[in-house]
Amino acid sequence: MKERRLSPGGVIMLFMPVVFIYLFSTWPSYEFYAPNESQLLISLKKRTEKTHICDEKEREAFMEEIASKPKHMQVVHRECGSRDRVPLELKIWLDGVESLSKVIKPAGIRSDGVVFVYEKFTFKSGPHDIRITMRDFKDNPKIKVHEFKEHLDFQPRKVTLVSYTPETDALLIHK
Amino acid sequence: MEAESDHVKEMPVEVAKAVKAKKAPKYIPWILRPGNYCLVFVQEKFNWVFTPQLNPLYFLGSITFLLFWVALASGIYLFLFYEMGPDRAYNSVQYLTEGQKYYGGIIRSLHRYSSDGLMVVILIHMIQVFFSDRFRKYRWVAWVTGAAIIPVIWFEGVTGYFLPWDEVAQMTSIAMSQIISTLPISAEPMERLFAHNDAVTPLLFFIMNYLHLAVPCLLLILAWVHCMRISMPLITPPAQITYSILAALLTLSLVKPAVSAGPADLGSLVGEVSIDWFYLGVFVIFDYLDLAGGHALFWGGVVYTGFIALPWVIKDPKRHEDAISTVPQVDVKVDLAKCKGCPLCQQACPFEAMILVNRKDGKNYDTQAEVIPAHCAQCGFCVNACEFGAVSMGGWNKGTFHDYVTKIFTPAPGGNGESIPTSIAFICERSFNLEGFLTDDCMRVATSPDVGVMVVPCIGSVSPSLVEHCYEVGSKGVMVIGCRGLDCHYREERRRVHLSKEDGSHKFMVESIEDNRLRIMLVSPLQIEKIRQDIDEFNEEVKQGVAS
Repeated sequence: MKERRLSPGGVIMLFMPVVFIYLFSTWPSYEFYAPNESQLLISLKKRTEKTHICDEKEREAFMEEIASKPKHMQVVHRECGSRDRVPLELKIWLDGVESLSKVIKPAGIRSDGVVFVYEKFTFKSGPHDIRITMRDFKDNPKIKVHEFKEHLDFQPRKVTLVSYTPETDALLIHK
Repeated sequence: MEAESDHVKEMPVEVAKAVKAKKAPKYIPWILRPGNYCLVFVQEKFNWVFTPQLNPLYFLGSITFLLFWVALASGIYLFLFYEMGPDRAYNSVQYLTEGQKYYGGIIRSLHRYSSDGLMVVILIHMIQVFFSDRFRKYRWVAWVTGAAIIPVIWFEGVTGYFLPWDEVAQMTSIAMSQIISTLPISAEPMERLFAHNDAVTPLLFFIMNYLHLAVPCLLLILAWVHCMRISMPLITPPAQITYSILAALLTLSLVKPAVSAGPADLGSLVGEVSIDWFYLGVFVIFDYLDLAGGHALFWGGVVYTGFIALPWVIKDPKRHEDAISTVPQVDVKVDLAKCKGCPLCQQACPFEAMILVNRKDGKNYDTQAEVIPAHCAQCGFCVNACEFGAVSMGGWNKGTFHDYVTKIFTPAPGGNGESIPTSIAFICERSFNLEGFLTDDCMRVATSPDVGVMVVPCIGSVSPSLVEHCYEVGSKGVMVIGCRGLDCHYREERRRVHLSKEDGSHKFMVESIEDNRLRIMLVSPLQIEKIRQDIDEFNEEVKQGVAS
């Protein structure tokens, strides 16, 4: 049996994978976004209205029903009406062109959670007209439509985030 | 012709069947053959450079373990200095890289390059296992767990790339969260975690850091299952290879220390960044093909499922029709009437297919041998290991082996002009292409009719008592011809490494046998002419030895 010895050629060959790692651990680099690209990001969560809201009469009947039950069955936090909520309609126009029209369902098996929105648009940097509308998707003309309409100058490789908070109850640019 | 059929008729049934086998073996499925040839060629080149004992291609599994330990040890050090939180994470990693340049920086680089090496070695290991047809049948567990290890290691790498919280981490997090969001895990899109800088909380770093620590535990479990069905797995490479790899990693760390990209800023888009292609290349491919998370997951899943299913997709060639091995490779059976419950067969089995269980037939032994058919490779190691002839494969037990050898050295009744061989060669049917090498009845070497032949599934099935029997029936010399280096299909060589450690002695060697009458030849499948010459040379040597 040959002596177990590593030859100089062997050492060089062992270094071959090292050269391979040396190269491909950083090279070639990759450009994910071009220098003249910008991004509009809409990321928000909103609790939409319930599909059915009790009127005064229904509320009274509900309270009576609760009161008639034994004490341990009177759930404190139970509310009148349905648990499930309506979807959210989101529309986005970029430079006057409708780029997105979407109806997003609330989270949860019973659709009783909040609506999550995460949409992004990448385009060339520079001035752009942005219009975003958002409303609870319900056949009710009185329902509030949230609108964001701005002429914005998008800086190269910058992300402009439009968000919503219940406190302000408006679509705003996140600072 | 008449004499030949009489000659066959007189043999035991199993021996007679073996004599009729005439075709060359085609034990590797046709789809793997071109790749197998290339693989053998590369292995031979490596053998030439490294010697078969130090060929790193035979130690890829153990090199993987070595790289894992390096990554783990270096990772523990990095963990001690790592701070959680967007700014703190970046600064702590920068401190390690710049502030502790000659130890922290090197250890970070070792961590990085050993992880890269891990991925490279695993992929080469996988290609080698695939083209050497070592992923099917009794090896499917190793294949499936190996296939599971790849994405787990990849995920480990991705979580690691999150931790420095630089631009690469930013790109990785967004791309990864986009893929995860398509899974029905959470209602909230995971990308929202990276919508703006304030959204990234220290808690997220805490989770990612501990995920990065927990995944290696899963890897160790998978590695354990990966090796579970093989006895005496090699998990440590030879010292020379270990030191060479460590030196190579250290050199690489000094020449090109791993550094962070610019700090992550979720208010900006990631431009041109250096990519670690071994872990992050997949994100580049998805970005280049413009594949959204769902598509990436779907196509990744399709490729991965096909990959896992390969052991069941690629079928055996018509093994038994083409088999050249004298011993048929079929189910192994244990004859309880002869079994003494000793551990010889269990120790011989390289795949833990032979187990000892409590005695069931009432005999006065504690245990009895039992075969697990799903684990059995039908290598025949146990058959000759059993001194009592209790273990058999296709009707062949120790006694049948001896009968066959006896027959080779017995003149045919009536005489058909054939001389009695001088010596005998036990040839592993996988060691090289035997087509045209043997006579039609596969009982002699075609160019050296003086040499009788018994083709075996693996030289591991040749026992010392069989070699002694050869001398008893008149063989002047015995050749045991098997695969080179540590490339035995049934891991015989690995067992030898464990049994004989550094001295390289063989289990075939017994004190009663003179060394010069036994020759172990571990041959290159690409040098058939040399094998012929070596056989002739040895045969001449033993002839002269007898004459003198």
